[in-house]
Amino acid sequence: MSNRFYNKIENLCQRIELYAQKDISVKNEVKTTSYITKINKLINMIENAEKDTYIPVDIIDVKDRIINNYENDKMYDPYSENFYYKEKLKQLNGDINKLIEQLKAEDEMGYRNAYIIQEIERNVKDNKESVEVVNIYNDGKKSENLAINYKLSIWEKIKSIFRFRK
Amino acid sequence: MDEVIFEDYNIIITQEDLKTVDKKILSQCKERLKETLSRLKD
Repeated sequence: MSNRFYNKIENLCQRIELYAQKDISVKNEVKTTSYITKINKLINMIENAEKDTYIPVDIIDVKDRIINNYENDKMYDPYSENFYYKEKLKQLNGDINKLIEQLKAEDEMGYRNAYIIQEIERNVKDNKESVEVVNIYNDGKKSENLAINYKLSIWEKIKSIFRFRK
Repeated sequence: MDEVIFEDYNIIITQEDLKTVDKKILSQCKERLKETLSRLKD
């Protein structure tokens, strides 16, 4: 969670700095003021969190974790090069099940992945059923193309989870 | 809920998000944000 949060802040800072580098004739004063106000507010929120007493993650209500995770996930753009789940999947050589296992392990540590696990598992199940139907029509022979198509379709499903939330 | 929304970049950060972040990372994020703030004010 900590690294994800840092990456989010780094990504935000880089984007705002790109805006800051623009010529003064292109910059919008209202937008600049709004960024300054929001960054100041964020710094205040961080300072408040630094003062807060640590709350063990296991006492955070599961429902809250799912709702909060839903809000977190909205922030990831599936078309971005930095899309978190795409990177995770690459690291695991495209193995969806390993991705789910890793997300589950993180969730137990309080990384709040419950919502995305639930969505991916639901879509994996739907896709497995459709691939099994195709396999029956192929006399049960395993096809490498089918396996690749299966992974690609799962990846499309993962992206669609985020696409529809936007 | 206390939150900051950067609509242009589709980013929402809530006070709740910060609760599970390591204090050391929070401090690094704060410094990084201050750096961006000074570039915006230049």
